[in-house]
Amino acid sequence: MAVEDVSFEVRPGEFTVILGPNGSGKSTLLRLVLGLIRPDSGAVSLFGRPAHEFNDWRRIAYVPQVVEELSSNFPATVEELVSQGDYRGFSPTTIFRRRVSDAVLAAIATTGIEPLRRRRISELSVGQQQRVLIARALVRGPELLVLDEPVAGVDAGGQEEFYSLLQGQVGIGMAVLLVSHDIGVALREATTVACINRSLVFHGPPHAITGKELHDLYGLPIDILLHDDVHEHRHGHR
Amino acid sequence: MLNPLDFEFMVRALWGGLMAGALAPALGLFLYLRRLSLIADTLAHVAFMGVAIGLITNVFPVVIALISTVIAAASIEFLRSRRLLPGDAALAVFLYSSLAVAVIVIGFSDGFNADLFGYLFGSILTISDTDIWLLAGLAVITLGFVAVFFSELAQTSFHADLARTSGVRVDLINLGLAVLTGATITLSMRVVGVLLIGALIVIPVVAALRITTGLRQTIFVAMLMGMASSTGGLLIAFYTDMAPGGAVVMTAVGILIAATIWRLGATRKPQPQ
Repeated sequence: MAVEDVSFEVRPGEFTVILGPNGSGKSTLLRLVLGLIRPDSGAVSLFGRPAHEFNDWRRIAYVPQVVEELSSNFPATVEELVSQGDYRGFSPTTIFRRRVSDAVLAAIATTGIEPLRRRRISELSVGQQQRVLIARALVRGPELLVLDEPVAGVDAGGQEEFYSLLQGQVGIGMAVLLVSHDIGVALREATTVACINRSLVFHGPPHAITGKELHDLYGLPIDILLHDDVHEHRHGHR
Repeated sequence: MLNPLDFEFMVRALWGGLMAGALAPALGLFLYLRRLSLIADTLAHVAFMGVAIGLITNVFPVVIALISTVIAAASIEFLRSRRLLPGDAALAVFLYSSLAVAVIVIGFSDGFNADLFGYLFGSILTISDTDIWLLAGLAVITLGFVAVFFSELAQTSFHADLARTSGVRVDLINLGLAVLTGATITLSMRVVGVLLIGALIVIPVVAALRITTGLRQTIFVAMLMGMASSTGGLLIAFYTDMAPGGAVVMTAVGILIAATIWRLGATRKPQPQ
């Protein structure tokens, strides 16, 4: 999926939501940001370096969608999987290292999954698996956290806990970049919203989004109503 | 009752079986988790082509097979990583073209059917000292690779993009895995045969996954199950005159059934909260 004419910045302590319908190029944008693919033209920079050359991996962390790999048969305990996030480059003795590092224990505590430590990840619910992936990302104390539709399949209560966890990280200065197709999430949680539909439709604080932009984004007039409704909800929420 | 250890060929076969049984699942676990276990079948057919060419040209069949599988493994990974061909398409193209070459080569010759049968179905009588030493060398390299790159292999097989964003050289790990798989298949041919080697790569892994929790534990249990399958199958073949490949794979299937029943029994019991 091609994207063009997209230009914005993510700063420390900012919660940016990339909002767009399915097929809008959100995931492509995310792969560009992570340096997994190169742009045909233009530039993507991570901490001032071109994304595809970036190699200071401990400054960024990625949380993919809870995917099949997790729910199928992957043989790892929660502890083992979170420890993957503590990777510091090639070390030939990893297989013999049985001790769980303090950073791993801290991330497990932050995400509230201590009781699950020794469970196999395939036995967990989708919401619990998502927490494990977040813990895996937080282990290395990243400055930028990139998430792809992180709450797909997570129940409402789980989503609320999940976002308060993220807000806590933003509060201590982490930059969060989250891809979603959920307008409510963008309006409720973001400090900045980037609306994408092949190109950048809107970039700014969520309260500045108008019905016109959402119409451009989703092509449905019903979004105007939804927009007002969510705004009310948002004011009531705070 | 005959003692198999009184026979030199049987001692060699058991050594070969132990090593093939350990190596195949050690690599197979990571292939299986990435849903790439079919690469074993493809590389087995490439090895078969190498053997056929070697037999007709009278140049060491195992060496030709080894070179062919290593080149094929590297090419498949190259095509996949550059997205020149989807993964399953690359596997299918290599499988059928090598089988086609093998069929053509066999068509041009007559008189080596017995040897060819040995490679297709396994033949414990023909395992040589050289085969054993080659397998031993490969065992050192492969187990070393798995041990040294354990974290990278685990991350890559869990989620390739996650691994990349942690700084893992996913392409090199995949290449190493494919090349070592090719070599393992080639050198295990005499024990279980080309047609069935894929089973030794997958079945012990599936069986181990039934009863294990962590990755280290799974790899260890899968290797034990692989070794039990190969040596058990070879002993059955020795006493019953069965084709060794068939006996080895059926032993592995037996272990899988036992592991599945064990798992069913374990999940019936009330789980402590």
